[in-house]
Amino acid sequence: MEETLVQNVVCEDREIFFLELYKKTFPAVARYISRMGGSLEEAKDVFHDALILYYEKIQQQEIAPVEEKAYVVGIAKHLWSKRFREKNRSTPLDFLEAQKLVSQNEAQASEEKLLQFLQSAGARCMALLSAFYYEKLSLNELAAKFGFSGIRSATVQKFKCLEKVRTSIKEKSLHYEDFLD
Amino acid sequence: MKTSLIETQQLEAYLLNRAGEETSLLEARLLLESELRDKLYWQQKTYGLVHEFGRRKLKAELDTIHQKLFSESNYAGFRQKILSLFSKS
Repeated sequence: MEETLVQNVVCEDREIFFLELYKKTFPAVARYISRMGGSLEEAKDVFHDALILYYEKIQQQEIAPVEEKAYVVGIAKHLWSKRFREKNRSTPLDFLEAQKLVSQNEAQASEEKLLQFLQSAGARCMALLSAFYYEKLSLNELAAKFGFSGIRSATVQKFKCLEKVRTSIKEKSLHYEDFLD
Repeated sequence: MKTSLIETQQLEAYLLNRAGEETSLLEARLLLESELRDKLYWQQKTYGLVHEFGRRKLKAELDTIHQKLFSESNYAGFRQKILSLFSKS
């Protein structure tokens, strides 16, 4: 039963899985955020982050996809209180914290530039790689989705893409010295 | 598979702690070959970016679902239920 649910997330339309989960779980999250004084937009943001974390956990098989509502609501509550604490932080940042924040922002900006480049220049490879490494599609599913003749061909194409993207990242990072930390 | 692809595959196995008996051999090569160390470094960066790419794609899909639930007539009940939670002052 648990395996079937995981397979649904991996193989079938993710939209169906998330649409059902949305209908079942968002009202509880929205009610909580509303009681805490948050807006609908904030409830949506927190809920989406919770869904992403939940999805990644089940894809990594770190948790069984049971009691999904309780799990997602729990993560959302935790994320909300974390954000609330950060928003209401009254003490000023010390020098080291400020420096850390600046380098975090720089690293994020660099990652942003690289992702934008990869989205335009290597869209197909990025789609293939994220289908395998993030969505955890099997090689058979990868072959079917991207039109390869079989597992062997999918494997070769995956590693070709990995090499291509790795080279692009390196070149871009060296070209724009501030691309990566 | 081409030699370079086999090497990429070996680096992946090493990064995922799945290299088994080949681990020691690869570690020895990494000590001696700066080019291989370089590839390992950039391959690790690549996995990080692929992960972020996947996350963003999923986030976009969730935005689409939200849009659907808050605009299509067959989800009017759901929409009203949620909006009523935020309409009280």
